[in-house]
Amino acid sequence: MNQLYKLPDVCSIKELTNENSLSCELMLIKLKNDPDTREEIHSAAEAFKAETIDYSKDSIVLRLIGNSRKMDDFISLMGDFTILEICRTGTASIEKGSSVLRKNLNL
Amino acid sequence: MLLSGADILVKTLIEQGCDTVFGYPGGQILNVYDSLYTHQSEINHILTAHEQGAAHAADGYARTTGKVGVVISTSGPGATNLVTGIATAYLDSIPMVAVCGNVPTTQIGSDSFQEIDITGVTLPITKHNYFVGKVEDLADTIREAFVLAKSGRPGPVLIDVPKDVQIAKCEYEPKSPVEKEEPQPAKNTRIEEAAEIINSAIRPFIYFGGGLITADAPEEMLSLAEKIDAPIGCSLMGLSAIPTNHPGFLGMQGMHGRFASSMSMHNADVIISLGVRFNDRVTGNRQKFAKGAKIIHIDVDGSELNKTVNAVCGLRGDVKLTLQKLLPMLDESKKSEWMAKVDAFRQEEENYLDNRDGLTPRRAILTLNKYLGENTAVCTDVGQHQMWSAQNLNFKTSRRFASSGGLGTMGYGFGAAIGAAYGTGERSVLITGDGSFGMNLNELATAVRYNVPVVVIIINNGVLGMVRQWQTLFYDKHYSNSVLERKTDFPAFAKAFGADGETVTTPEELDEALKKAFNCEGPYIIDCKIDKDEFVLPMLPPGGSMDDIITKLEVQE
Repeated sequence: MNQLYKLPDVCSIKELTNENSLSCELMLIKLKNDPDTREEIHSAAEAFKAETIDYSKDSIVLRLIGNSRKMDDFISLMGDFTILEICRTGTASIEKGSSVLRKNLNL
Repeated sequence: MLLSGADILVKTLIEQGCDTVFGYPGGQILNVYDSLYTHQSEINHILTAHEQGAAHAADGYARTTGKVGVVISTSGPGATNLVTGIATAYLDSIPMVAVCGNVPTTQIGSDSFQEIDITGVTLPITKHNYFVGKVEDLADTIREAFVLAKSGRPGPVLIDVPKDVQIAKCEYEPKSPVEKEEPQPAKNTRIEEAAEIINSAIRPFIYFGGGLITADAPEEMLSLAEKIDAPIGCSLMGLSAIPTNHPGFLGMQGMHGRFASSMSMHNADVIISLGVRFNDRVTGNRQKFAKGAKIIHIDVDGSELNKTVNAVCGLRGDVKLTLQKLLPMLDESKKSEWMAKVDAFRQEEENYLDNRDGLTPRRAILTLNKYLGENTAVCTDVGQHQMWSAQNLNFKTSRRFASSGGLGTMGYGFGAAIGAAYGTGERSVLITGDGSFGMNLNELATAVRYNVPVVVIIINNGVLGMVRQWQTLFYDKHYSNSVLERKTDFPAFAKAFGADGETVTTPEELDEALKKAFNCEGPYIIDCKIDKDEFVLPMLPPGGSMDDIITKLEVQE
């Protein structure tokens, strides 16, 4: 952490743990749309609260929001089908409660 | 006033107190060189033979003056040639600003002729770097770069300036030179803690490094040593901070440190370390390093505390200011028993000194010592000669030793010696080896052209001595690619470049040659022949501890 402070562009650093913070990431996953597997993909998507954001004859794009573990689980579940593409944002986190990294944030 | 980017760049350098720059022109920096031409009465540009030499010269200039060294190069190969010089400065925390040209912004990213992403390349070896996208940002970027380069723990900063930014015009308003960020002492509570530990110390040892020189705190350190009666040792980077003949000074510590210094540190119960970073060349085996000692660590860079060794008390802050606060809290005391032990180590060290007749490395350095003035800067390259120099040179004044300690850059010395001569305004000395010298000997052309008085002493053993030493000790004497077998005639080389030089084989000849060299107007090369099986001793084997120290060695044929 001390090493990061040496970078001139770094304003503030705080270690966020599972206990004191909230985090999630976003994933877009494109799957092959096959009449045989369509149903199964949909029920899995429903269980994972994934939203269908694009639907075409050959492909389905799902959007997932949640922790990284959930993304991994979903990807491994989809392993039975044909995954065409995956795009993940990585984790974004924020502290719980009213405490902030930097006061007087001028935007 | 409305000025071009190139003029703004040069004027801002002048405004920041920069009077000497080192560099090499080229296509994408031509506008800046045009401006240097216009401003040549205000700023002196030294043209080197190679950009690497220019970077090392800026480094040598910075080390000897404490000012920010400035180097200028063109884009592409000019910029990449700076890389080793920038990395050398980075590892030794030397303040430097490197300015590179680049292709116009409209061509960036198209693999244009001599285009390179130099901010990308130098990201991990600079304190910070900038790509200046518009001329309006140029002056303030340079000012910011100077602040960063010299503040806190100093380091190199690179500024990449595309050609169209050099051509574009904008308003320029001169400003006064930027100040470095206000140094801060460590927290009071920490200083009190440290004072308590020091006051209860029975065998204290002071260990300082380059940070002491940067903080300009040798005086405070000496007051500390006097007050608590502690012996003093240093790292390679700390050399020259205090005179070698200071009664409490035991010299360099570490892999090739002096025996008494290393032994005293090993036997201390409290080590007060000032501006050091406990490099592996210093600690050897970290688990066994100074096991019985409590380490107090004062450094301006908080990330150094507890990085490689654990300190019982880590103080983040300016060394000078922290010592000033610490000193009044300490009890004055005499530690005769401990000092007697230290003296015994010194006595023992006498037995290990190399007093053989003939032109031994130690005798060569001792002979040189007679010629060194108060203000003479000595630069070295890297290898055995560097260690012999560190062990035996008689330093008199702070900032008069320049050596690549962190990166260990062979080829550093010649550029640095040229920069040091400009920094001190006096004759400088380069001690080098035939291996290291071979890497950047082209800079002799620079020294000749500007008539820079540099005394070059090549400790010539025909082999890569340090590599050979390791191969002898740890690689079954497999001298793989460490025997040079070159036929270089160094005096003839000197003459071909327009300088003069000679070969010496005895201490008497060396003495005569040095007399000539120190009266020579320009550079002078002394090719000093020594045996290929000379060793740097003592030696702590890599990863070893004081129990494994090698003090004497018979080389069997």
